[in-house]
Amino acid sequence: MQLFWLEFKKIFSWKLLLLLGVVNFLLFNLLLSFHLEHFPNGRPQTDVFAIEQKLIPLYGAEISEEELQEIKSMYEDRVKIADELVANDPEAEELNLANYEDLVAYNDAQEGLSEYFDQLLYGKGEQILWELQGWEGLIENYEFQADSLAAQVAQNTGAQKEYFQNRIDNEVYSFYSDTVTMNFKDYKTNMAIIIWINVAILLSLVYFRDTRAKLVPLQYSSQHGRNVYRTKWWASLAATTTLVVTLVAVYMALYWTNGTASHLQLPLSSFGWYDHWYDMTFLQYMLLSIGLIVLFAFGVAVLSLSLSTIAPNAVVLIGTQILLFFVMIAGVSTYLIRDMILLWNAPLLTPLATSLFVVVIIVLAWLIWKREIKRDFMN
Amino acid sequence: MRITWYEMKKALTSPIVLILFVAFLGFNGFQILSQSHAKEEINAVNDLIATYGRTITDESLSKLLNDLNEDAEQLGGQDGAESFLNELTYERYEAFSQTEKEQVDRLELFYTYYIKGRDVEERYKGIHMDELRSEFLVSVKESSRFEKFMSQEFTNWEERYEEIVATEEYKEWFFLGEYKMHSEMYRSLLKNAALQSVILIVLMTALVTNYEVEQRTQLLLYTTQKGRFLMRNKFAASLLLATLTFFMLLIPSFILYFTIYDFSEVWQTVVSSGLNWEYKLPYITWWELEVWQFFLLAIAVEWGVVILIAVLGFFLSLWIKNTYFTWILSMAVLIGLFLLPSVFNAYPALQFVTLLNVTTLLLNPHMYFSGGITLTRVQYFEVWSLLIGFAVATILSILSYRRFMKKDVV
Repeated sequence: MQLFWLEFKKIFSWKLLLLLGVVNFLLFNLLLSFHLEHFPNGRPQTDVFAIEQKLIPLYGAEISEEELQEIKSMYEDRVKIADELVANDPEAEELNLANYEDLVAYNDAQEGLSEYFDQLLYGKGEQILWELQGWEGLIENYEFQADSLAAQVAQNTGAQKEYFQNRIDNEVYSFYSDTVTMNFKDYKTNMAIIIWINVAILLSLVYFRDTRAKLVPLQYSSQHGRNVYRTKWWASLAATTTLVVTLVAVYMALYWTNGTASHLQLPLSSFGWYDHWYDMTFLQYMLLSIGLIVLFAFGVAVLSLSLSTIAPNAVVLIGTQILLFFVMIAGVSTYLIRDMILLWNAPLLTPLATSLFVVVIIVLAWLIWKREIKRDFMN
Repeated sequence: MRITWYEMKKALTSPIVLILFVAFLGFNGFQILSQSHAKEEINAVNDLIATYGRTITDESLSKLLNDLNEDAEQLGGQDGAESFLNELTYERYEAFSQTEKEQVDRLELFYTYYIKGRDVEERYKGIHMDELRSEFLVSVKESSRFEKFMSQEFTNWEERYEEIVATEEYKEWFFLGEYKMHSEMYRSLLKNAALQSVILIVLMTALVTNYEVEQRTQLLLYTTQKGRFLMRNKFAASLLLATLTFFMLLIPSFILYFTIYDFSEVWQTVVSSGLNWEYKLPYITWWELEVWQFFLLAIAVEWGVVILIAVLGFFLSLWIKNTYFTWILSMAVLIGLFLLPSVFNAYPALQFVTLLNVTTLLLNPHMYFSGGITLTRVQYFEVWSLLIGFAVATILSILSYRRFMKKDVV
């Protein structure tokens, strides 16, 4: 046990902690800060998000016919402000615009209308006009839902067709936009990459340091013998747990500043732009994502430890890590993290690929252990 | 020289380096091939140039239109190419035989070129330089001297634009802007090859420089007669390795690229061609550069960048003496340099100075030698960045080399 703690402390040397600090600072700025600073990104996304935050506590995920009428009347109230704006604007009078409806009639024949609209949209009408676009987007999307689901049924085949048919049959219509979930998907993908890089940096030197110092023969011929190898393994996994838990906590706390708590209890099917194989609440989706990220973080840990055991020199160590991270970033983070249960991927992709990954990891770890316990350490 | 070669061999014979080479080349090849579905359509511009000449003139345009009208007539269109294509419905298209379909496709493509060539003058002259100037100067109005400098740069660029308009330099055939060939070639392929070489070069430099420490041979080697002068060979080996890696990644990738895309007639077209218009603005280059000149210059600049990054790796190796940390820290320094300008968003003059670092050049080969409305588009930006980079690299290398020559060998 004493050896375990000593090894644990050795893994978290101050030098490595400093390096991890620098790496996290840089990668946070490179990959994550954008998704915090620019959420919601632009307009009318900002307005859509504000409207959703207002509506969710009132109506929840499912919107009934009455509720839709109420929402529409809320929208009408907002339209009055725009009406006033148009009515009191001398420029609008020149164009014969009496109210908001005239303004958005998109009358191509009328000269100067679209220029005037743009001028308002980026000028004094900025606040209200974008907001109304947000409202209209949400309401129209909801009203045309049955049609667009029917179109999806016609376009698709197999399980995807079934999914859309099911939604029609059960009248599962989505009202809200995917502003929040899209942002979370980007965030969690980049967060996953950062966490994996951290784990690889943390563990790559655990055994390699001893190989390079030619310490292994001394360790294995001591009384504690090859148990050193096992102890280091457990210490490394404990260190990984500590690091991953810390990083997930820090980065999710930073994510919390986006203020998306309002959406946590909504089911995925109530976000209108993307479809998923399984219906769960946004909170459950979040937890599942984090679970998968952590699982792959331990995969990276096992791979790094295995590499650290067998790498004869630093070039092999780094070179293999580059290849590994190419796969992790281009493949795993895109298909298994970002698009985890997305309807447009094969339904079994994530479960199968993840299970395969786990099996490979376990077999690899077992082989490395077996080799290390038996090998002739003088070579 | 022999010793330098042996030092290089330490890196080159490492199997993982070869595997990475193959993986990177495979990736580039895959990327080129996966983008190449429209290659025949894209290559057709060579026939156009061969038949009607490189420059777009009124005669060549009317000749092109005449030929197109004749082709349309052969295919059964009575009132010329335009109405033939307008009246072409899916059913009528399907009724043609296979060879006729190809002729129709070609007619349609050349007609698009005709339209682009006909409209290029109007479109090019329609660039509002005054609007661009105010858009550009909004971000730099803070400090007066800096604004004066940037304003002068913009004036020079505007003059250059006027010169292009006056000499009709832009009236040359190039691949349609929709194909984004310029971006594809530089932003995708050249940049990727450069990034891949950076990954490998830092690794190789760290390996060669730290080799004696890692292998525990430094006590023996640095006390021989050759002694610490070995580091000179290691430095030379790093630079040679950088060059070798860069071109080994570049040459096969571009050979594949040029076997897929036919540039035979396009090489002498100017990059500032009005058809080379991919985004908001065309590439208004500071000098009249033909495609082959731009190509070679862009490679030369990226080569300089790659050499500079090798020197950075060498410098860090001498201090850290651990290949693993050297590699990670080199990458961290590069990311840091890339992020640095964004810290100074409120101070454009400082931001401009920090933009003059190698990562700006590394990541934007498609914007080389072109003016525009960002701070990085000033004239001689590439030269300045490289000069500053080489100055810093020389000072750092000399300092750390002298320190290395004096410090304890243990």
